[in-house]
Amino acid sequence: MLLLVGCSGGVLDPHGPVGSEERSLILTAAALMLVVVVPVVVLAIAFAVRYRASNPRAAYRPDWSHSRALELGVWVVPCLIVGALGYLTWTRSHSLDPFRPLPGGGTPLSIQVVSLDWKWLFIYPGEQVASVNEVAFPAGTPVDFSVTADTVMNSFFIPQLGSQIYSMAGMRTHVHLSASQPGRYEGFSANFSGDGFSRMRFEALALSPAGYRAWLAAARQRGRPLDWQAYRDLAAPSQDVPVQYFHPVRGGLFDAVVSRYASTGGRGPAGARPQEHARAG
Amino acid sequence: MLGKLGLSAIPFRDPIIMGAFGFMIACVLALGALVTYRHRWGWLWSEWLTSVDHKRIGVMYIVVAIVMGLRGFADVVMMRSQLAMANGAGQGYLPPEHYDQIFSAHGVIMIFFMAMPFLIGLINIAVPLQIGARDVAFPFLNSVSFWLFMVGVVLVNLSLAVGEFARTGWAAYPPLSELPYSPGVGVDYYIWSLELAGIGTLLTGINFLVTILALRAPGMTLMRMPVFTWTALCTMILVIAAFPILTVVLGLLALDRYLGMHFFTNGGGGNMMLYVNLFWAWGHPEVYILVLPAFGIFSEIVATFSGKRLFGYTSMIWATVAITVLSFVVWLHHFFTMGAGGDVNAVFGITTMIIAVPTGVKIFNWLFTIFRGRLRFTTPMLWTLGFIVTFVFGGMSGVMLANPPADFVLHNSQFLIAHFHNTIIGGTVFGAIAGFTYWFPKIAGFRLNERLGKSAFFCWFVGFYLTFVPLYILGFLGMTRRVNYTGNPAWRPLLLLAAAGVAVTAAGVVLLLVQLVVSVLQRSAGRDRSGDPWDGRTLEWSVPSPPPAWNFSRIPVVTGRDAFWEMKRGGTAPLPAGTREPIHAMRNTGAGVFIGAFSLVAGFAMTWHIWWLAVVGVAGVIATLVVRAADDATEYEIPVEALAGEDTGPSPTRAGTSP
Repeated sequence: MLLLVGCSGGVLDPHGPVGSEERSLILTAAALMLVVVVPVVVLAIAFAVRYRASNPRAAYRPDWSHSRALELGVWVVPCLIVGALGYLTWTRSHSLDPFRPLPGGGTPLSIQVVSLDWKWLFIYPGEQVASVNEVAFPAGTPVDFSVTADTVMNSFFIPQLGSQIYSMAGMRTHVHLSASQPGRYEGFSANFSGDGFSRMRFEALALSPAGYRAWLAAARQRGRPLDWQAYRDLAAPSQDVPVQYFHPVRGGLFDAVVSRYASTGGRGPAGARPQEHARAG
Repeated sequence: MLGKLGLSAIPFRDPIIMGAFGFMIACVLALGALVTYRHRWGWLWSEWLTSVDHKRIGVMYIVVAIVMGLRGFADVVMMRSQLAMANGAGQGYLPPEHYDQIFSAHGVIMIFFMAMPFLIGLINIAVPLQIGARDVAFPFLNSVSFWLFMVGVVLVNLSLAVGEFARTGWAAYPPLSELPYSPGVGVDYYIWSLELAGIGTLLTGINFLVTILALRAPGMTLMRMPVFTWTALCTMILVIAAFPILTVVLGLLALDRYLGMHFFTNGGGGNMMLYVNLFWAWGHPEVYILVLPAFGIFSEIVATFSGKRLFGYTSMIWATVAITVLSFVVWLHHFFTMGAGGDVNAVFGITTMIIAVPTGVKIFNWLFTIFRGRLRFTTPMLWTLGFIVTFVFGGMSGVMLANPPADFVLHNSQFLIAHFHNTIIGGTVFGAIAGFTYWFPKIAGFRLNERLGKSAFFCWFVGFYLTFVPLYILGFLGMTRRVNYTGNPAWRPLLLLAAAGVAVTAAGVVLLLVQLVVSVLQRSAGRDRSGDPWDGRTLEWSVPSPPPAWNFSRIPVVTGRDAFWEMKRGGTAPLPAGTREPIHAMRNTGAGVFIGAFSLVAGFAMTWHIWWLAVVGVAGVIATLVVRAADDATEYEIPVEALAGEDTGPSPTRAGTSP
């Protein structure tokens, strides 16, 4: 079963350091717990068969209900296993904290992510480029995704690369990911967000350095300008949205989106009220 | 005049919804016609609906829970068939706006209106009998609790045809559940059904906490209580501590939606994560509200059918208490992906894993109870064995999810869906059915058909694995929850397998219903005149089946654990000698029904913004309470003569016999 799952594009088939460590954590935890689970299943079947009422050869001790050694065992063994798992949890929760830059990867590429109804907007702050439902980056380079929402909560997730993170309006979360080899990876929202949720998907392209430069150039060439008004139009609810490119992109767009909600009565640069694009009932 | 309510609220054009609602109406009408034909309205009213007898209230809880379980299961059939079809080129037959209501309703119904009332029903039936009490501490309050729960049931079912239900998922996270994103009445139905039913649950919590602490028979110290009563006690503590949080958080959401406040909104200073924190501060204890009573049921069953004392009673109790306390310090594991730092995530991950220790202790204690026992493979015992084998995998996947970095890739996936169904079906549902089968003869006076019960168990057991093993795998493959369409054609075999699992489980559901009908029709075959069909160990088996309204003609004196078993074995008189005294009992009252009815009016009116009607509803509740408070004749006396002949009790010679 693990073999089947391990080569078919899910979280047990990781193509990046974060996902790889998470897979090994899952497998280690599973193995540790099988130390208890397997004996339980075996004992349940063995005891039930052995002490069935129709078996006259089995012992029957109706008042036997206490054994210091056994009770010590049933408390201590799970404690030891949980102790080991707890140690793993403490160390990995810190080393795999999504906000933490990946070790030894150099300066990460910064990509800003805005979840909209129901599509993903990716902004390349240094490049004046943005795209919808497709994100590209060089393989082997760590990427710092800054994530926010201009709608309800979603979760930004590329299973084969590793950790997901919530996107929340007025807040800025981070997830550091890296693809170890070029490839196309599926990404989507992992937190239900309404009618268009099932098709709120994007493709993550891990490219060679040259391929990444070509992707940027093509996006610049094909892209439409993304000013505040174009952004407002894009942000209006829509489903099953095709890939789009934008160039040039209004400076500070991501920060403007965050700050619309960040303070009390937050307003966008164009005086747009947060509630303005309420979905039609 | 009618607020937002109008004819357009009824989705006449949707054949699925209208068909389902038409079927519901037809069932209600058929039932009404049957009652009318048999001239049973008076009986129904005076013996059941107005009853304050804990056993009858328990039965009503379970009847409603079964009906709502069928409704929730119909949702399952729709969802899994949709997902089996909507893959690749297929689109299925449920558009998102309908599908989203179905999974939201499924979660709400199964948790609030199937699992919880089923367990509360069993607690109602068994706990007063187990502690040697004549009723609960506040019998009228018990009736009010039931009818407030019914308000929630009716509101949720009304939402099917009048308006819509929430499309937000059962947790109704804002900002999706806020007015700009959910302008319909669905979330309002959700809020008011849970607010009103939740008050009923809270009252039940208080009622049973007091009952268990104050009404135990002489000699029944805390450490002599049956384990089911212990788990009920801990459950009630959880209810009392946790349900107010739900009431408040839904109240705040209502303030956002009705008065334009900004507790959880995008902007305006709102913070959706405040809701998520509060919701799970209730929601995780709720998980243990669902599973602790099931643990208690399994403890009773495993000791009874092994013919042996429960192994490690003291460990068992402390494990239960440990789970009770720990359940309040783990809630953040529902949203590790919020982006809290490593310290916070690690602390909540570790506290979550620690719960696996007392749970593991319980599992081992059940196993060592079977060890050196004399195991009878009755239906309740089969469910118990099925639970032990199934639940450990649910626990295992739970501990995997408790690792924050593992959760970063498994959060909200089908793996999570498989995990919590593994624990809730493998624990709560198996426990509820086991308890139902176990205590059924106590209430009905005859046993359920064993052959059909065992067939039902095997269908459920096989159906469960067929359904949820594919979902565990799909979770690893990257399928998230709450989608009504999957693009990857490679997943299709697994989705079809899960649908086949539902079909097998459906056979189990049908077999359970057939078992009930056949058992009633052939009740003379399963008749039990002893009151003790299983060779039981606790006091509920010392009274006749069904027990008289007052349970115990003379209150037993308890000298140890397994009180009834000791009485049978020691050859001591099952009930203490002593003079009988007249019993004061509470009269049945319709006040609970009226409070429920007026609350329903208020809840419906609030949902549809019909303000004047809401005022009428609230005023009706208050008026009913005033009238009830002014009633001085709420009790009556059962004379000694009526008690004679009810003391059948068991004969000591029956100890150790098998059914």
